[in-house]
Amino acid sequence: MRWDSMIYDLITYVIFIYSGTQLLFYVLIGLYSIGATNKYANKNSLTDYKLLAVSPYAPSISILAPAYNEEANIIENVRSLLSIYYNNLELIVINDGSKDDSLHQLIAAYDLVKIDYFVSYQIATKPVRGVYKSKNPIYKKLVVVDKANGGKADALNVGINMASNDYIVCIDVDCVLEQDALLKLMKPFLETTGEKVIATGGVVRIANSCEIQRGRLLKVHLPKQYLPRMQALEYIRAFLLGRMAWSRINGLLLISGAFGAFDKEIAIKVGGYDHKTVGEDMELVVRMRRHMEELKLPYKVAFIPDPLCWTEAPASYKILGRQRNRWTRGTIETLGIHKKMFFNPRYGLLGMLSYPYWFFFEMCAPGVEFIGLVAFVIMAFFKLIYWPTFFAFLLFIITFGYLYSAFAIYMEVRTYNQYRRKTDIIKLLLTVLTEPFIFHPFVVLSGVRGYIDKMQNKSSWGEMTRQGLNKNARPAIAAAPVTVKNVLLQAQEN
Amino acid sequence: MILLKTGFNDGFARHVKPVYMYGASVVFILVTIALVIATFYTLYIKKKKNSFKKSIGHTLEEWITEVIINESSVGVAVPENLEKLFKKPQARQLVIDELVRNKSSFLGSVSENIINLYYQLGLNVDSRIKLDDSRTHIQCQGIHELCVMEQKDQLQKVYRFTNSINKDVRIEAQTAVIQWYGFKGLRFLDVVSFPITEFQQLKLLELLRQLPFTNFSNFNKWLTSTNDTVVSFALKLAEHYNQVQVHKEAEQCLQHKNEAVRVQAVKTLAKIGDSKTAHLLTLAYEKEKFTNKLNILKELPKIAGDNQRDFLIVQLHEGHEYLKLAAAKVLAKCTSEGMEILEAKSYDTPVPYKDIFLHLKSEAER
Repeated sequence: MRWDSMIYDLITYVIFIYSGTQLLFYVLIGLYSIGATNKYANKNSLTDYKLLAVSPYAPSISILAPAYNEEANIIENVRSLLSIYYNNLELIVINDGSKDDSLHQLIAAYDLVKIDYFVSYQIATKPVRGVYKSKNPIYKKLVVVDKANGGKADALNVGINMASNDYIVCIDVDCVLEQDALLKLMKPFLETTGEKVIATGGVVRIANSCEIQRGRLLKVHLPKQYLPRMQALEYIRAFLLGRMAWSRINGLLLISGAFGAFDKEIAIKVGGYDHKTVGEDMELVVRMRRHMEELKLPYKVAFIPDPLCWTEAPASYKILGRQRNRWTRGTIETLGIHKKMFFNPRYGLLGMLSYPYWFFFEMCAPGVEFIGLVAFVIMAFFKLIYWPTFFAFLLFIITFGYLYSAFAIYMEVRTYNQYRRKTDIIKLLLTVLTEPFIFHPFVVLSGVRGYIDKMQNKSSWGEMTRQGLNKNARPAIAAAPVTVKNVLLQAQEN
Repeated sequence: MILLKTGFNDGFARHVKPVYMYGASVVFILVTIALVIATFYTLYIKKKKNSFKKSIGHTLEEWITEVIINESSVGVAVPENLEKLFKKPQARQLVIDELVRNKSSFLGSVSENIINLYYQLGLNVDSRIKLDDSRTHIQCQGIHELCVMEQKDQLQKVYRFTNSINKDVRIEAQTAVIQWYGFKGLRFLDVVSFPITEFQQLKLLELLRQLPFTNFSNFNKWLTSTNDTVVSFALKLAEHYNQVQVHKEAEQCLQHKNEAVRVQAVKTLAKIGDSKTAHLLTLAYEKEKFTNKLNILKELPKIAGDNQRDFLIVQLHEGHEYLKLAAAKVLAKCTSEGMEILEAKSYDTPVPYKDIFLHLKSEAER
């Protein structure tokens, strides 16, 4: 055998093993998620979550909501968070040095006064400029912190320092929560006896085109625009299949920054959010897990398949590109910080499976695909492609992708069935057909841009302009009185 | 490589031929089509089930209204369409679900009549059969239905499940026993060897809260149980029902090897404690880790006095800033001249005591 033939064979085998392993992972993820979702549904069908809301023995929670230039919706968003029905709760809104009128609007709307407050800088942060509490006892749960601008991670760290309760729930202030989201998120912390639950996360769904009023989700609709619709499908695949499967084997590395709960003590012990990375949500989970592994303490990162939180997805290629660019940089940075765990048996499943999976199939995937695409163009130009084989492989991979997406849609209908109209499912299926030709290449390209930006040491978040979800949102001088949501009495009207 | 016209001796290409890929693609397409069909079929079934549920709900609503008007189900005919449905097990289950849902919403004679209807339709047999099912979620469902429908004759069978190896079955069985027999039902604590999760403890406490308090039969045994979660739960009961007579046993729990038990013991003692309890807690403080140290300082305001002043002043100087703030709070609230001590301290050592003093002053003014 000629040496160059051997090299060709070697490259072929490497690429095939890579692709084959990735496909195998997808199959296993799909199969594993079925069991995990069924188990969850069976286990919780009789659960009365109301108990948690009213019980004096329920764990105490501090909700941390960082806000930067959110004046358009801040009053309504805070009102929505204040209406969460939970006995043992405080809401800390962190104004991260907004340049707009957010703070003054909050002061006026919620009758806030500046108070003397001892801030313990357990985690180093930018200085706190002032702490505000309401004179009105209706808003006694509300604490507003004004601080110098330092980014989302820094704002969350201030929140952690200020939190007086045992658990912290980090939330994007513009997210819309399901009525019982907090109760469902907290339950796993109370369910284990042997191992400590250090963090929990839930499913995030796409809110574009949904009917939302005053921070409440009234009716679920499939997004009308192509990109949000595509992301709706992507989120179903990622959350309902991927994260459920990983959580079943306790290998979850990421809890969405939009809505997640953490054990405050552990979060402080590991030093809180890392403000040097743009993937601070993933980095915190990895660091907390690493901490527990190093101390050899039994622990769990829990995930629940219920749709808990609805968020606005980017509707333009420009914003979506920035988001995916940032996600890639965040993954590179997080895996870089914790490279010690790579195939390190000391970290168990985390080091031997979760980390390598993220390294090869999340971080490297855009690069591998991009190189493949470039190689293909060059080979095609030099007429080196053997087209029958090429088309056979192309068809194989595209049909596998369709199969995986169809399975995700089936699981969604079988379980949570958020999109109940037949036309919605047809639209979703038609969207699937376009993915390999429009959406996926764009996501790969954005990932590659993320590599380039990382190499150039760019650390910006990139402006994430949103169209806004609250139809009736407008800056208000005074906030409407808060009506406490009774999670059981108000059924979601979808 | 396989995709190239290289003319090399391509070993891989010999093994992976295009025809295999086309074959696999056809399989993928067929499975995808099957999944799409299954998706629409599921949508159809769910829709059908929903409308069926609505119609049953409507029928039951009418029946219940009639029962309310007549103040009894005697003479009120069992809805005809319900009887017709009984050949289909899924339909029977939907009727059970609706009855269970309605039973939870009504009290008094209406509630009793719903139970009667459940009997009349023979649905209690369905629920009983579920107890013998090998699937644990079906067992749970059966226990839940029997519990809501007050089928106390099933106590013996259900009681065995209170120490089931399966957590969910255990939870439902314990709940049922308490629902049926209130405080007397707690006797399962004497024997339960598996953990009672925090969520379950919380659930049981809520159930008990809705019942008139009688008494606890075997408190001492629970507080000395080898099952840590039983000790913890017993301490919560002692706290909630102010069981001062178990003060001594609760005190011993301060030395328990399980931190969760010690944390709860502090809370319980702060509630049922006497004049010496604050001193006991300050003694326990030294041996504790951060979590329970903070817990002790948070509970002390309920029982501390001037006798704890020296202890609190020491804590002002030591350890974590959270502990300093918590100690300062107790000092300000429970000791005479506490605020003056803190004010003086804030002049002596402004960092961090000035901020702590201002924080407490501001808190007192609000």
